[in-house]
Amino acid sequence: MTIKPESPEPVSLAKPVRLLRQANHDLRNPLNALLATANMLSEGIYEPLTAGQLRAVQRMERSAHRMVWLLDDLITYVKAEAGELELASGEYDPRRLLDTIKTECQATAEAKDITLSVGTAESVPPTFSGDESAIRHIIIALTWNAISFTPYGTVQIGSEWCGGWLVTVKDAGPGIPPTELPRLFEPFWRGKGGGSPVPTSGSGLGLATARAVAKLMRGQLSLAENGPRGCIFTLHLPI
Amino acid sequence: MGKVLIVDDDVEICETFSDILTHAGYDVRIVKSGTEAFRELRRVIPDVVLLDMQMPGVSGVLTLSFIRHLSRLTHTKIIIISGHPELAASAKAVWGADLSLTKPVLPKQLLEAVSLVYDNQARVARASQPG
Repeated sequence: MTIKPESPEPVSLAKPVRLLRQANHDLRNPLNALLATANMLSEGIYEPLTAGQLRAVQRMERSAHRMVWLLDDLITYVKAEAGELELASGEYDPRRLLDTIKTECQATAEAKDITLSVGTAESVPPTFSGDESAIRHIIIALTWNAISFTPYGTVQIGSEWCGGWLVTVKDAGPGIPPTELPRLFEPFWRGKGGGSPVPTSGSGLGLATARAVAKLMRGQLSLAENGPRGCIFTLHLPI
Repeated sequence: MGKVLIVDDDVEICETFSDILTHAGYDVRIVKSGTEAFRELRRVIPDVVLLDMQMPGVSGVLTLSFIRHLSRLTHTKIIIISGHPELAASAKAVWGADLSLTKPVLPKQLLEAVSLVYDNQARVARASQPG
């Protein structure tokens, strides 16, 4: 007996998106309690911790942060795929935004002995209009990617005005093998870090989501430099 | 320090936020539903209400609307807390909440938000007192 292949049916994303929205809400409550409680413990609000206890609690805090970030990534990617991602409008301070991102990623960088630096050229105006949350999402994805692939050294976030806002994120990793470049922005693809024993983490959605969001903003996200001393990703946004 | 009413059906969230605010010196009360909030608000006038938008039964939007229609709660400030950024933003814009936060809310963010609306509330309340 032969089974004829069924003709492909159009796939509706409405149900998965709805389910994911609900899961997003349901997961955020326990994650919030976990993250905030770990934060209070590490700040010594209940009582002072020993050095070992502090390290353990900070590890919990970082892991909870990562779970929130993965959840954000997943919901943003699915919404972008379903054409449901809407951009908000408002004013924001680009310098403050980069400082906030640095604060958010600092603990993860420090845990790997990586220095995280942020520099903004004077040419960048004090305020921009656009969706601050979406831009934050892209830059955080690039920063986490850079931290993930840097074994030690410095991750640099730079920004300048270049007919739009140009943000660069430079890592000190081993570079990306040419054979892996075509798949770089594919969802769920995880690089091997140039074949070196660099531990990689994440869902493999970070760069794919970042590019989808950048495209929605009519921006351009690309790999500008790739070599054995690291990569430079650039985000160019028409403001 | 001010009185804060937490309205959230998630026990862990209530206890976590309560710990943060109590430690900072606020007088905190917890209720687990919109219905309980209605009951509590007949007895007390909180300075700040932390309101979850997605609760079973009486929703956050209905609770928000109820608070906004009671003249005795004119000075009560409302901070919306939601897992959905869009929902939090629309509750602020459409229903007149004073601030909105998206979960996860860290201790520092919560304290800054409550302190911001509480300071404004205290200033307005002082200005409206006769003499």
